[in-house]
Amino acid sequence: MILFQNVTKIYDNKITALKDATFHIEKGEFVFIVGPSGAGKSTITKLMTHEELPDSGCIRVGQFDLCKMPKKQVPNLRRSIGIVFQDFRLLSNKTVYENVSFAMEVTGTNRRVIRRRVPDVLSMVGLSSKAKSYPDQLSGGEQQRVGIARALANTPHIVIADEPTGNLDNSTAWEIMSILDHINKQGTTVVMVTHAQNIVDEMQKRVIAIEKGIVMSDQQGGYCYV
Amino acid sequence: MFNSVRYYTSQAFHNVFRNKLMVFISISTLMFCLLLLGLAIVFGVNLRYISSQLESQFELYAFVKLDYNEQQAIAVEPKIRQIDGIQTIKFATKEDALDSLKDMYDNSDAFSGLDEDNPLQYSYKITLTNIRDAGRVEQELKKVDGISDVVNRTDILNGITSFTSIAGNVSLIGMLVFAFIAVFIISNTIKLALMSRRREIEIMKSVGATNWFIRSPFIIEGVIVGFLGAVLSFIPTYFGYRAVLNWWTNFFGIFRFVPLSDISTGLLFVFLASGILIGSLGSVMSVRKYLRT
Repeated sequence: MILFQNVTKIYDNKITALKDATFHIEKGEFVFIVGPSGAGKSTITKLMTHEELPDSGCIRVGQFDLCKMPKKQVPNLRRSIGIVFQDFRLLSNKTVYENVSFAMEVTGTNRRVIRRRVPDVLSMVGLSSKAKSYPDQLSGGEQQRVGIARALANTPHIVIADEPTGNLDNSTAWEIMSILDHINKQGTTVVMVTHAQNIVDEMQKRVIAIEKGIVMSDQQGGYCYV
Repeated sequence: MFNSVRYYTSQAFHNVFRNKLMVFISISTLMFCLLLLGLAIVFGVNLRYISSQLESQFELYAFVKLDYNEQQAIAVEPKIRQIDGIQTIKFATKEDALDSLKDMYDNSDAFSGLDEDNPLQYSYKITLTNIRDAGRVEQELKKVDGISDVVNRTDILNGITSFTSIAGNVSLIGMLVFAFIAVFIISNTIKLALMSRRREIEIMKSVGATNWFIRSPFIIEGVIVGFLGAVLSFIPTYFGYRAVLNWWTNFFGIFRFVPLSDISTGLLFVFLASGILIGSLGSVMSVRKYLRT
């Protein structure tokens, strides 16, 4: 599903964000990517979504070979990935419903499909009753659930969550984790970048630890990196 | 497809309303540009129209020496005919000359005593096949034995054509300057629209909206600005030209201007085309710069 093969990324300011990283994530897996700030975690998500290109090595995501694919394929790649952000990134002038339907409208989805799909994903994250609310009327946890609903709207094969619990308190964080776990159990591959040691320890999933751009460990279990 | 077009257009109008002041400034600059373009076109079109009228009306007058009698004056004609480039020759007697003088002054009594002792000259009215030969023909006429004087009216024509062409060129240069300013201001207007929608654009990119989908509303916004600018400058140009035409035909009448109906459709078309071109150019410049990835 996701393959990084000897991937190196050096930014213009000569900082090596990722060095010879190799890992393979299978379809349906739930993987944590952990490491200290500036370790290269965000670079991994940016490489997966073609926001950045590697300097060497190759990356495959689903059917896409990111190093060889033409630029016009990028939107198709991104439609196959749902992204959840730490800061939610909701549009404050749109309702919960509209925030989710927006993601479908802008990818040219038929209105009938949108009308069926949006209530489905809102009920999946438990926000059916808040469809008409605006983001600033919601708690942080609810806002992040809207973010997840939006990421799921276009039925992606992969969900990338970049510190999804970073701005939330502990109990709310667990609500989010149970939603992500549920999504994963339904067959979606989930890649979650996080700092939250307690969550990683508790979930007992595969953990890829990165430091200074190097993959330090890749194993099942807890937060092995301190 | 239909959904997308509806989305682009509604977003574009939304941007226009959200950004009223900048849109107003953009449209005003564009109007300056198009009004000058209109002036240049009106001058250019009329320049050709008027000179073709004057060319067809253009005549040289060759006056026969005062001491020649009618027979002698008529005898000059074959000599004139030998000159190249002459289309028609019309002989006018002293009496003809006096009649036309009387006509010009509404049969005023001032000329009543002149019938018996006519001081005017016999003359030839000469038209040319090509107005460019006027100078040469004039010189050759002067050499013809029996001709005392030649009157050549090309200087008036030259005056009118040089005035209209200078006026046309000045407005054309002004138009180019304002077109440049308009593109710059429109691109800034679109830049503001892009900035105020940065977050939406970010989300659109992350969920896989195509670049065209993201760009289109902003390009359409530029087109709307261009369209409004074109329509708003066409209105004063149309009525202004109509007013000039009325004033001209009331007071003068040496020559006619191009009729309004002949020029208005073309002018509207040129305005719309240039307005939309300038508007979309401005927005494409911004969009290219700010939505590169």
